[in-house]
Amino acid sequence: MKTARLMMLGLALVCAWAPAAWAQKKTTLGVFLPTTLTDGQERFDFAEKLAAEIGTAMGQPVAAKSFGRYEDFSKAINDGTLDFAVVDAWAAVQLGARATPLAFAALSGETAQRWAVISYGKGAVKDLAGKRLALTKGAGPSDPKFVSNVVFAGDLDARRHFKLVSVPNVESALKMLEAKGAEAALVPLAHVPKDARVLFRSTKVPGALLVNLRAGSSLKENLPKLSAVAPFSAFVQIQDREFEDFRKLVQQGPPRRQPVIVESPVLRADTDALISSGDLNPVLPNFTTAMDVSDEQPDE
Amino acid sequence: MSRMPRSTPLGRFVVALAFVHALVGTSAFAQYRPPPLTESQRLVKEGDDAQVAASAAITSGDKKQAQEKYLKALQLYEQALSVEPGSVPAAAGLGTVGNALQDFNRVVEKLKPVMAANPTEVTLAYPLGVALFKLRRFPEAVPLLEIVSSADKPEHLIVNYYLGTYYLYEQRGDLAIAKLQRYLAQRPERLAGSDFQIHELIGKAHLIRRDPASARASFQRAQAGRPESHTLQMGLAAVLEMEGKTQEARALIQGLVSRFPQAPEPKERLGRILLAAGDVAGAETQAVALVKLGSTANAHLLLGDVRLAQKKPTEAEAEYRKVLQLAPGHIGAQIAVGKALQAQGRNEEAIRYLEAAVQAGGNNLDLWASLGSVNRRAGRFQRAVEVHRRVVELAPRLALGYLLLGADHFATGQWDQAIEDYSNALAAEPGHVAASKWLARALAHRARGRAETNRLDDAVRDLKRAFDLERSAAMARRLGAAMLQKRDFAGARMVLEQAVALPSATWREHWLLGYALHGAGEAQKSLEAFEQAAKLTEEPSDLADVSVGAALAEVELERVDEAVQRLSEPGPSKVARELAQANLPLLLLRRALSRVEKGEVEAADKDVDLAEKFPLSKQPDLARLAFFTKALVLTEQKRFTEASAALKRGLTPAPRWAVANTRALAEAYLLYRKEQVPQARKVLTGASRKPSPWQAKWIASLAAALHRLEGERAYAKGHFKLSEKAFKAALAGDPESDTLQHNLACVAYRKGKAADAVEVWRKLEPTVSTATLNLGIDAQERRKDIPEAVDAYRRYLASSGGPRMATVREWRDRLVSLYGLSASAADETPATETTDTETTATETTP
Repeated sequence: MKTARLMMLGLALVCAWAPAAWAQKKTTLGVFLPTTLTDGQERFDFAEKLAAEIGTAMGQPVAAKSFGRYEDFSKAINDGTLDFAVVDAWAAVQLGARATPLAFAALSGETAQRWAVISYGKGAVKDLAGKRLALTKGAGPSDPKFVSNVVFAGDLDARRHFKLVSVPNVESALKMLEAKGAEAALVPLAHVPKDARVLFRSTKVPGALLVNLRAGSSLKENLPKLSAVAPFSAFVQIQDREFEDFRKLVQQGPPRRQPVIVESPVLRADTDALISSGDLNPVLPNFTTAMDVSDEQPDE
Repeated sequence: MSRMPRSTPLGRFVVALAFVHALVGTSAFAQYRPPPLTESQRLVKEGDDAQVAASAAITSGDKKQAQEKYLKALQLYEQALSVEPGSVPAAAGLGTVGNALQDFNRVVEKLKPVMAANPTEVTLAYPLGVALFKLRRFPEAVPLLEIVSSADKPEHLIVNYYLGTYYLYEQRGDLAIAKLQRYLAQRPERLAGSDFQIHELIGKAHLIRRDPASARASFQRAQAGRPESHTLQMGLAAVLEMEGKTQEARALIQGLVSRFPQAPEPKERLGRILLAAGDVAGAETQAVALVKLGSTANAHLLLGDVRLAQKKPTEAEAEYRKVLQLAPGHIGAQIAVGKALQAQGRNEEAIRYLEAAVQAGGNNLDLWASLGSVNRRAGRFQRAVEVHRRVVELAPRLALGYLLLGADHFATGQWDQAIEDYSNALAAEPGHVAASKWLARALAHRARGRAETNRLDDAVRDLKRAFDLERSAAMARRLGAAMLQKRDFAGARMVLEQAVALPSATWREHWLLGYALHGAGEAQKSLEAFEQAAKLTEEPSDLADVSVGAALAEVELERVDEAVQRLSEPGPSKVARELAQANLPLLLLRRALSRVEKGEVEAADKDVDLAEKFPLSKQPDLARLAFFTKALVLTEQKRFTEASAALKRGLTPAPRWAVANTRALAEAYLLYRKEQVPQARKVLTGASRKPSPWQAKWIASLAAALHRLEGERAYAKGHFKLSEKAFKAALAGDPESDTLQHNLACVAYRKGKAADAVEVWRKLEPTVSTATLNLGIDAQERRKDIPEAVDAYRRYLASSGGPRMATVREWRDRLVSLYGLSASAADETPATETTDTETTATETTP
């Protein structure tokens, strides 16, 4: 009986506490930047500061969660824990429709960065056939697509050429390379160690993104109020199909090159053909005024 | 039958002699006797005797007796004539004696009937001609004297002198010289001492003939071996004047005035020269000195003329009246009195005076002429014309009457009549200086009136004739101006180039030449002419007029900015301002059109905006041109809706500068730029049915551009069949086009004929750089031959330029980097940060 009473009291307490707890659920920012930032503490500090900034901009408290692995990050999204996130672009692609890109996070004004294949050994990329390439892990099956389609722009199939070794983040990749756990590593150009050799340098690839993970968020509207948080210099709103094109490139690769035709120059209007220029003569003076004769008269 | 008794031979001879004597002897002997004189003959004989006695008395110096004898002779001849009115000897004797007694009127009266009955009788013609000559009845005298002269008798040689001097008076130099030469040929040796006088007269005749060299020779011959004669020296001075050596002539006459202080002629001539040169004070000095030298008619006449020039008509009149006192009936003085009266405003009095003079002076031409002129100056033009017609009637072979009529008609602006009068004057006396001058002026006046009523052909014809008569810069300017008004720029140029070469050329001739050259398409020379005009004037309004012309030349020389600057500051001339106002918007629009053709759209747009700031409402065609130009600018700016609206406003209603298919062509072009190929082609087809020759090339270009555009757009969309059709259609119009062959190869490639395409590209590589690129693409994508692809990309980068360079460079660099292909020396640049910044991962397809 006593137990039953205690249970009833407990249920009553739970019932009394639960709505309050739900009402107090904080808006949460997730940060997953395994390739843009190289230090875990840096990612944590960034997440905390950004959450505070977003909280100020939106006028409500925002909690921050920093993730070290894609699986954890993905799980938090699936759980509905996160409302928005700052995430590396290649990872954002792997999130698919769950993430709505809002803005690029610019580093020193740049919203894109180059990637590099680095090594401590000799030879070129073609010489690394069958060798291990340390690669930051995302969703897994999608990771080689980013390398082949974006970094190598379809000119080299990474999965065929390399033996891909997944690591959680950039620092792991560099450590693995250093420890000769891999012959090469793919890292953003900004993080290439001074003593490493750059075998290949990609074109610019979008860097970090601010994405919305929950419908009805007012973050997009409050974006202009958001101050920059180091190490990022600004949030730059994504234009039109900018991210969509990137997503398509990652997933499908660049289109096959086709022969290009020579486009003819624009034909300009020819006024001689359109206008009777003989009727466009300037107005000339009345020359009869120059026919004047003196008033002199004969006086025979 | 009985026979007659036979006589002896002697007897028969005696009988025969007696018989002959009986038949003819008496009467034959009677014919050898002097016939009995008729009464008339007797009287003539007595007259002749009296005449001989008179001659003897003259020879002996007994003038009184001579007079008596002459009178007696005259009486006897008259009696003889009364007895036998047709008696030639009596008439001839009467004539000789009458002339000796200077009773010329009697001679004329008595001899005329006899002369009429014997028109070729020299013995009559001589005294009658002399008497008439002495009576100054020259028209009657001269034919008679010519009869005598033709008879060529030494005793009548004086008639040649008379005729010579008469022809001098009539200004008929050649005839005068002929007669005087005949006199010299006939004169007896004892008269040779007076030859110098004849040579002097011949010199004067040469002056009339305007032959200064011959005149000088005659005067020098007259002067040779004789003391300096001031009259001969005066003749030489006239020669110098005729040769244009005015200063030398003046110096010579001034020397004569000093050396012959008592000779009136040099003073008079010097006075005349000074008066003509406007040195009235100098002329007055000479005139006063001349009057002091002797109160002669010529002296007072000169002084009168000086006073008139000094605007002292009252004093002038007084001098002229003194002339008339000294030489009653002096024609020049009477005319001068008329002028002096008129100068005092006494017009009616002047007219009355000259009317009276004319009545008194018979048919004196100068008086008639002066009377008419006085009437003209008094504003009585009708009377002037009437009087001057009388002058024409009196002297139809002289230019004088026509000249006077011309002046009358000139004064009233009756140019047609004036031109006819002066033409008649020139017909009478070809080369007459005054007639030429005033005919040219009258033609210029008429031409101006004709030009102002748009009869430009007639005006040009008049001025061509005027310029032939008067080769002056001013006349050339008038002719050039008329031709310019007629827009005959080539003709105007020819005339005005002559005008500027004449010494009297001014800025105006250069200014007009500038327009003539401009119209003839010689822009640089036109500008130079305007610049020359600007150097010849400092008047701001003239300079402004010149500047406007220079601006037009600058436009043709593509120096539109300078032209616009000039027209923006037109200066103080109203005409220049109006011209600038009229031309500046046109020039701006022409520049805008030119800029549209070059693709300089923003600059063209600015020009249109500037042009529209002018009040174009008075120039609707120009306003429409502004809309039309704007439409082309908007088309270039891809603002097609606004362009269509502007096009409509520019061509509704059709302006003068538009041709029949302007609207359709412009619409077709607009549709082409909108890339609405089928619609554009449809409109263009309609517009091309009757193209003008100057349109054909651009229409063909537009048609070809439509084919190309259609082919290019179809290729981009993957519609290779349509693309192939369009490119082939374009190729049909331009079979040699490498780019079209190249593009067709691209289409073939996409349709699976890769090998064919590669073959074409290889062939076109030297001329079409994109062919090289496509060879690279084929190597990389189809044949997976990376080194060949890289090599092709390298060749492309080394040979080409344009928007694909960055992308292809990226391709090449990536392949080189991934496949470890070493950089070639042919590479134009290695992969650098510069190229890295140009592309992103999504920009990998050219």
